Amino acid sequence: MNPTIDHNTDEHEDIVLLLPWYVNQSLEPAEQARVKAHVRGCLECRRELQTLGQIEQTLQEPEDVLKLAARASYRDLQRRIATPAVRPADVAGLPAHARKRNSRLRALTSLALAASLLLLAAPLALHRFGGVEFLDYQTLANRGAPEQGQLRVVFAPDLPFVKMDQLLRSIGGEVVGGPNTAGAYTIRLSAAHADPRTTVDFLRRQPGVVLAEPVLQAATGEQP
Amino acid sequence: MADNSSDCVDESSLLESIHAGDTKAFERFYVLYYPRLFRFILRITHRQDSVEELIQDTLMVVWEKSDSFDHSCKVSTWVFGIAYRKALKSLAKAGRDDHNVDFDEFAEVLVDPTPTPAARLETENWLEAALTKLPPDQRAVIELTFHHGLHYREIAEILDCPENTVKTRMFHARKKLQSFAAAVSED
Repeated sequence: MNPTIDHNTDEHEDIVLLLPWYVNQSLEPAEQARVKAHVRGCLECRRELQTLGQIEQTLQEPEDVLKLAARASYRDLQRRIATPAVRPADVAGLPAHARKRNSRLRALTSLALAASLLLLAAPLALHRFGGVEFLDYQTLANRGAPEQGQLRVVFAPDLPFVKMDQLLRSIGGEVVGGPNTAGAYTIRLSAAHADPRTTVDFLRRQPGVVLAEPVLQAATGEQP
Repeated sequence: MADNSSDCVDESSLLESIHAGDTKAFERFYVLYYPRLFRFILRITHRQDSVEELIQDTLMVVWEKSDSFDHSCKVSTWVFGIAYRKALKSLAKAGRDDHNVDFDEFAEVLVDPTPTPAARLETENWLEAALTKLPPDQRAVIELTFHHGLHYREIAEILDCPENTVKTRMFHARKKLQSFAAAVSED
């Protein structure tokens, strides 16, 4: 009998279906041995294994950047868990355990929104967000005098990181806080671009900017 | 396989700690699963704008309903199952559920003259381009097999379908990828 030819069509068809898991080495020992024995004498399956091996190699992309993004986003999560912003009315009717968990869920929701921006802006975030406290959003009730050289900006959700970075460079801005629950970043302008009003006018004309306004001193109490 | 990040982590213990409200445990879980879920969800949906939201939704379930894990499967199987269902729901909600993408539509891409597949694939990985043309359920099988290194039985649990369905989806996916590769090599 010629060992290179498998005359058992049913066996061949069964084996063909198992080849991907032979490649990823997840088959149980008996299955692995069965496939191995068949492949030894089947040229078609050996060719298929080569193709599948190429697919597997191609899909082995490094996840280092995503791991960094995960850590960066969790740093925000920790901060928000520590100071959850929960409206009492939302949880008043819940039992104590549920209230505790509910507050954490709200904090997590906020973080995930921030994480999406963080990932898009991962290289920027990893350089510019470290150690910056989370900032509240400005309201009519807490308006004050303009903070020298600081803006609050909400970028369009679909604005690519590259465009966001270009905008920041063009205004001489650096992210020093956020995004907060509304998606607003706090931008500090360099000394050469320290006129917030002019910069705000410029930003408001950009299609990738949803909101731009100067930070008011009494609004946040953050460090300049 | 690349997905061996959890080899040294007792995920069941982490889950018990999460159920007890241990935020440190949840942090470890979050960092552990974020890259895996990101890849998996993006591979299924091909929508970068919703990946973060779906990761959030998935991990919210882990945080909120960790007690619903019944230990009948691996933790990763449970988590990926949640992610898969949420990804499909997202596709359906967005009106972009391309479950029904058939080979005719797939073939149209192969003969599209501008830009030609060859021109596009000079700068892009042909496999990545080909994967975008597969239905989500087939992409899920490819991803869970070749990146996450799972056995077809685990994949069947995650996708909540018979094992033979997993094998069949993989088979059809392979054929489509091979057709795509052949078309590229002819150009």
